[in-house]
Amino acid sequence: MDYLQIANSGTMWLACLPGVALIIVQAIIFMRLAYRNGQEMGMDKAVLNVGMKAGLISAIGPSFAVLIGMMALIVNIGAPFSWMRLSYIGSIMYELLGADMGAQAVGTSLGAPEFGELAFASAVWTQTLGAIGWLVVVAAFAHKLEYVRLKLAGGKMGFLPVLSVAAMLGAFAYQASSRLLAGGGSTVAVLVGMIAMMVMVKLAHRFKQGWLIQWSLGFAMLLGMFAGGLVPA
Amino acid sequence: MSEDVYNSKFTPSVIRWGMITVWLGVALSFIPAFYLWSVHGLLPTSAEILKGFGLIAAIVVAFWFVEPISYYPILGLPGTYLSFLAGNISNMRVPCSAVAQEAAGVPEGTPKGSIISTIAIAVSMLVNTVILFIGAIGLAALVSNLPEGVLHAFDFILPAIFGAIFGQFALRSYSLGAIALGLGLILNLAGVLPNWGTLLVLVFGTILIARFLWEKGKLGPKEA
Repeated sequence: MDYLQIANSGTMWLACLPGVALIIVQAIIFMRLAYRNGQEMGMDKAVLNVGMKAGLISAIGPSFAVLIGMMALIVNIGAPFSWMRLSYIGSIMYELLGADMGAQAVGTSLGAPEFGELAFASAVWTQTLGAIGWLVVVAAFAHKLEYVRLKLAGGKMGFLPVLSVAAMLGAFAYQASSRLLAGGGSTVAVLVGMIAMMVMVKLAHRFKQGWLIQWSLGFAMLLGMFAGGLVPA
Repeated sequence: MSEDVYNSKFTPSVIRWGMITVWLGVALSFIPAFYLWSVHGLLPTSAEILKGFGLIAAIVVAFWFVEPISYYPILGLPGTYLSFLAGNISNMRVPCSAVAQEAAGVPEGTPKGSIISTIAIAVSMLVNTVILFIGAIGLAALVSNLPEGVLHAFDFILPAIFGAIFGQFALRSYSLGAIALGLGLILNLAGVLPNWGTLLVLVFGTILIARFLWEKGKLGPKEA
């Protein structure tokens, strides 16, 4: 039997459902905790709703980006497991890599004609096991990380918001600099996305247009990607 | 007062539910592998499973530790539990959290910032799961029928998102932004560090430089 029949079977969908269901339950639990405690902290429900709306709008663009990447995964390991991995735990780069390593462990590679039932099972094991580390580290140590953060601030509470901005700049300088150096459309997309976002956030604050911030990531993404797409390869 | 509620009521609930859901997440992630074994009899040998694990672990083991530590100051504790169970962190959870905090006008790294971040990341998980489900059951075919030019532009979604979020935060401090980006470019050009080392040096290097500048009074307290 072709492994893709197994990979796309109704029972495979059922096997993938519990993980995704957990994500939905977790999101609802945390959202309710945040709403309840946020209001007790004196935050206006309208402010909480703005955060919700901005998160919702901002998630649409990146979700479509993941969807595009998911197609490469679906043709190799079927729809249900791809859906599960990308709703839950994984990212495109990691899952493609994990599936390929799983295939290599049984002597083939992802997308090769010999990639069959056993290679599929091996990919599933490898993708699953390779990502366990993140979950174990977070489950065991996340609540200790506050000490690291306070240590970095040297007990100066006023520095904590600056620390978050610095961490953000460091993390996204990491992501942006390699793509800036990639040349062609990639360089253009980084620059256009960056400038578009800066202009929108500035304008939104200057003219008190909160909606513009909620939509800013979507707009910056569209402008950046199409500007990048116009660059001749 | 608001700090009290956050520390004495919110955080303990977050830790309890965070640990329960993430440990449960470890267990549930094995269901597809056990399904293939028990229903279809598909099971690689233990040597093959170990080999696959070894190959992938060699690439990602450092990230298991570096990423939670590096993203914690951005995501906060609840955001960390949510994001690492949901995945797609740098390309979706962090951007959603950052834009939501900007829109709600709350400073990052504070209890109020963390509340908004929690809501934004949670809602992004629901949106993502639904869009991918619709995509997985059919929309993928439709998307692949889009014109060539549009498909080509999809290659540049990630650079555009990363540039945008970097730009949003560079507005808070142009000097710190320039330092971080300069450091990123130098480390990339030098190419001596592995990726996880670059991430670690950039995040903690920028934090330490920021601390130095802040103590010198060069970075004023950020207005909310």
